[in-house]
Amino acid sequence: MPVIVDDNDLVFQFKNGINKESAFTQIIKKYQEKLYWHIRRMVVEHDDANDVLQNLFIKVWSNLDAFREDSQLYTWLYRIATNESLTFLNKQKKQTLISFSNEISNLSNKIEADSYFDGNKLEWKLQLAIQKLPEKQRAVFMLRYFEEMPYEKMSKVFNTSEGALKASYHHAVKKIEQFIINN
Amino acid sequence: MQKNSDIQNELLIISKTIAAIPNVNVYSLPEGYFEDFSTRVLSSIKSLPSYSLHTNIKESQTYSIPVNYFDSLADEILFKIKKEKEVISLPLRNKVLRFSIAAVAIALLGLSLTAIIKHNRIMEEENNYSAYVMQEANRILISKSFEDNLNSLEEEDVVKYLQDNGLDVNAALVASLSDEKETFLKDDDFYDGETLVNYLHQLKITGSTIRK
Repeated sequence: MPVIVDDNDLVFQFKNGINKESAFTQIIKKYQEKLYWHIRRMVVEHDDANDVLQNLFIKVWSNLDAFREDSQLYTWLYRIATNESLTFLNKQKKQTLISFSNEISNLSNKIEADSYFDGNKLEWKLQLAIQKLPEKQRAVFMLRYFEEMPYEKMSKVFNTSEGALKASYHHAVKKIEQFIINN
Repeated sequence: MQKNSDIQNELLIISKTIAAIPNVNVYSLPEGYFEDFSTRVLSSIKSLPSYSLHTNIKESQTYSIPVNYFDSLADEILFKIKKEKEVISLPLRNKVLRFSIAAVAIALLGLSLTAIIKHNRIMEEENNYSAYVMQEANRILISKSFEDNLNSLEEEDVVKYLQDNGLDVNAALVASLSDEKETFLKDDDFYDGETLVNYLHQLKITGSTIRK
């Protein structure tokens, strides 16, 4: 059974060059799945999620030395994952010169193109509804709904007050509800 | 998958419809994707130009050298220098080389005298030879024409002399390749006649001693 090492210990080992690669490998293994699914729901396709996740960890490697331990590694990683996903989507938007409405249909098309897609199932309708949300609201909904992240930690990821996040989540759920009822 | 009760309760308050949706993951991913993910990430990191900046330089020695490279380096350089000198036939007039010769000034003085004697085809009796050499040496010192005589020496004679006397010919050759303008010796006339007389005095080889 693998020994669970505390995040602070892993960061300490990395910063001090003690088993640097080993410490980094443990960080990757600890967070790879959680971060992957967060990114995947944002960018939809696996290949894109893979690119974003790899870039994320490369950035973490380059910046972990400067990581301030007054914030948690966990929330720091989610913050990077969210920013990297939004940056990826914006780049994709610029490259294809698509408008916001076209971007929604672009992501919706990707969902519908999935080999397991079933438009009659509520869970797939939920995915399509999520893509209708504005980018940041989408990220807020995903962290709360799928990752079940407490508002206190979400406020560190988004650098926003807990109240603002609660309001954003509330609006997001209402919009999704409307979409599902209408479709 | 069961949702966290706090989050589920919150969702029930906002929308019963959304709370009723089963919490399942609809997306699939390639089999074994996470198994070697960390290896792939580290491989990408190691291929970055900035990677060496984040590692201990001693531990990640980038360049390798052939075994015993430094053992033979000096000999190889000197071999090439000698070969080059043979091809280009550089005159051995470089002041740096002459400085090294001047370091054994007294012996070279004898050599130059021998060359002069050979040049003038003067053949002396063997028992008078040393006296004649000393006489010529005295004349050169008095006339301060040591440098002219030194410059008239054949390269082969100088090299042979240095070799015969166990002196480092290679060091002299390497030094002779230096650009004269780049050398650090500014008082390059230190081996003129006057200096040599002083040097001979220090060695207690005065003109009178020579004449004896």
